[in-house]
Amino acid sequence: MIYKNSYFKKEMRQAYIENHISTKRKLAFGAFLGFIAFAVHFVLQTLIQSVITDVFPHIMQTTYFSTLFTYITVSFLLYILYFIVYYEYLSFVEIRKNRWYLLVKMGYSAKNMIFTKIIALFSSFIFIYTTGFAVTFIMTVFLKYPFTTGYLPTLYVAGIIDIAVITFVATTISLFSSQTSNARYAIFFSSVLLYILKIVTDYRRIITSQNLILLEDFLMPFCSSASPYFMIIVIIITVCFAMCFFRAKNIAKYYTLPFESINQELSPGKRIARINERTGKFYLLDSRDIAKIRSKIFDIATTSLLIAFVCATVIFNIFIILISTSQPGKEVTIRGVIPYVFKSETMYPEIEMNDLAYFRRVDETEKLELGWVVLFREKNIEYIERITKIDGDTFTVDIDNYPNEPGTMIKEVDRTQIYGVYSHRNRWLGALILFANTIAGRMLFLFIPVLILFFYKPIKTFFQKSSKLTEND
Amino acid sequence: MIKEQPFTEISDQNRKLSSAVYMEKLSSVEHYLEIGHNPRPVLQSISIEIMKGEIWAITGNNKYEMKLLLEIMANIKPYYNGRCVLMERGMMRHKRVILPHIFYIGNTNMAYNNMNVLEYLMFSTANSSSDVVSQQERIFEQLISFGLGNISLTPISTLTPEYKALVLLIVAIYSLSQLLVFNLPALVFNEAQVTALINIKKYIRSSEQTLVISTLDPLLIERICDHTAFLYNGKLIFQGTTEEFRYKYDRIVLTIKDKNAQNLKERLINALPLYKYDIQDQVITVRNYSADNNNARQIYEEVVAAGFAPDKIRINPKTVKNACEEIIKQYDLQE
Repeated sequence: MIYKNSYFKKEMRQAYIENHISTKRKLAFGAFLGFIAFAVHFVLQTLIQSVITDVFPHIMQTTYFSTLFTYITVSFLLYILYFIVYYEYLSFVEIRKNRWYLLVKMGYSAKNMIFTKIIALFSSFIFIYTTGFAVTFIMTVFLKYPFTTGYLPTLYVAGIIDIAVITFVATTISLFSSQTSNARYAIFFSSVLLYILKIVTDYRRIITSQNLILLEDFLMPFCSSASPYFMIIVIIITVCFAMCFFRAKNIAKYYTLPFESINQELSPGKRIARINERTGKFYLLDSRDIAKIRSKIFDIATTSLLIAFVCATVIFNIFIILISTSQPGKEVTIRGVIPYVFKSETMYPEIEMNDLAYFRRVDETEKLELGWVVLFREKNIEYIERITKIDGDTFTVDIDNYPNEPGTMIKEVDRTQIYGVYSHRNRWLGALILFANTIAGRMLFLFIPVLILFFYKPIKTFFQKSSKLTEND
Repeated sequence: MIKEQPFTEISDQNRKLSSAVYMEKLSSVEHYLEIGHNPRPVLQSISIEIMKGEIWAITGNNKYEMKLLLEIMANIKPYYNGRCVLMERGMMRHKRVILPHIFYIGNTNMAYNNMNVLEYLMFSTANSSSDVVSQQERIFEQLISFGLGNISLTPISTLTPEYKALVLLIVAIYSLSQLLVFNLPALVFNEAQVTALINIKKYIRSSEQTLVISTLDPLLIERICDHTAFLYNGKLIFQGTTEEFRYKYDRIVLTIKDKNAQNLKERLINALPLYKYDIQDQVITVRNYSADNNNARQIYEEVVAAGFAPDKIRINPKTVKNACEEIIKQYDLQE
């Protein structure tokens, strides 16, 4: 086999050992993104009668728009993860590792390498993104959703813009951050800022409104008259590109010294400082104390986060179990409150489908008022209805929302039958309980904490190792 | 008492023609800070001259000092005062730009982990030849001749740091740089790797490149380097040929193994008091600190005359390892 690698081929290969493996992996990653998006779409469909539908209607519908919008969100998140995992290969961090130093010595041009790297990076991510987009589209065909082509180009371009901007930002960060871990945090915060920018510039509202895109032309969300988002993104990309070019060209000239690993060389009480010729002042180089404190803080933070996550999931699981075991006559009461996952629309809009409603337990002596929503039992069946008339100890109750034949649910109940009064509801907790009862929810809330509990030490060691590697780089 | 080596002055004309590294009374920007002591430069009054085509080892008692000296030598770190000329070009004190005539190897992460050795060498030398087939053939044959044929198809990610360093050194010898600075003092090379280094050294000699390595491995110095400089507490206490270093500081004349080592030692002290005798595990080490008296035969005759028949008598071949131990011991006693 003759090795005939150009820098472009090397970049297209990314982290993989051979070019054809890299192409296959990228194809597989693209398909994986599509399948994951499709799976997320199905999970979301199980939560359709919850608060999620009200807040994110664009991803909860049974349309191509929903599946493809889910895809662009999922692909963005997983692409960030992909970028963070293969940060060493995808970003300009290789200059800091002096890999370019060696290539420049061997006659490679830094300027050409900068352009080549950016082109290779973008062609790779467009290939991955397009594959995933196509897979999601093809999978949606099998669902026989109503097909509308109008918004497809808009969604495709919107996804590319998101990934392009985060790629540029991440590659630019890699030229300024000397520590890989810091660069990773910066990428995470950049993506959060990008999301905020979308909301602030009204881009998110426009892009999630499929009707708006259909009514106007497909490039409408990117017009500055509709939202300044696209213009801001163009500016960010241009600035990042210029910074990449000049900074990369500049630091490729230098040999980057790794983290000062002088701690082991020194006897206790001895420190190393660099003298400033102008001021004559000394600046400490030896950072053993800072490194120790950082390492301790990192350890505490990792452990605390893991413990907090496991505890939160355990408490949440106990809560779900309690609610699930709640039966008529044996309701679970937590500090005088009966939680109920409301499974009907009879009390809409006071209590909506799948809301977690809280009822205050009342005894027979407490005075009830007209208009209160009460929990009562009749022939061992639980009912939740509103008091419409009070006649001594007899209460006339009725539901708020009749799907058909109004008046069929009017009942007269005795005061002794009523044992709870509606106090408030929590829509998000209701949706979370609904999600927790799906397979994906069970995986997240039961399986993952168990994994963390069993593999706590290897996880901690992994993070410690990553941290140490980062310092040595 | 050992005195600091005086720096031999060479005429400017001569230096211009043959000097690869010329440092004169150079001290570092980095200083040691210690409670109760004045700050002192990590490197101070460094004067050294390395000629073109020579292979030098910089060794010493502190890895950080060795590394720092080579970093300054490669124009990566600035120096505080003194003078430094690299390949006949004066060096700016504050610049750390890659100079075209210097190739610096300061870490083993400089190669791409997702390539194998042959592929990486092909990739890094891609601009030097258009005939890829003959280029690959040449590199492969060279790898075999260096004794590294076994790793030619091994992914770089699976190599040990020592092998990675060798790969980087091979890239360096293919470059047009005349001064190669190999600054990895923490690495410990095994026998096969040292053999490869010896073969690479031959190539370096034939291409008239200069190699400066920092190492703590005496065996490596002995087998690779024709010149040695010894750094002790930030000062160069020796510089010269490796042979000179061995003969000057390795004071062991011979070792004698005998069951009655203690008795034999006492007899020898009485008969030959100018030598110094140490016993460890029934082995007497005989050292000679006077320049005139260095006669192994005389000691042997005295042993036989005393009626001893030692299990083993070994004339010391003068090693860098002993020289290093001895030089540190002597300077430790002085301080």
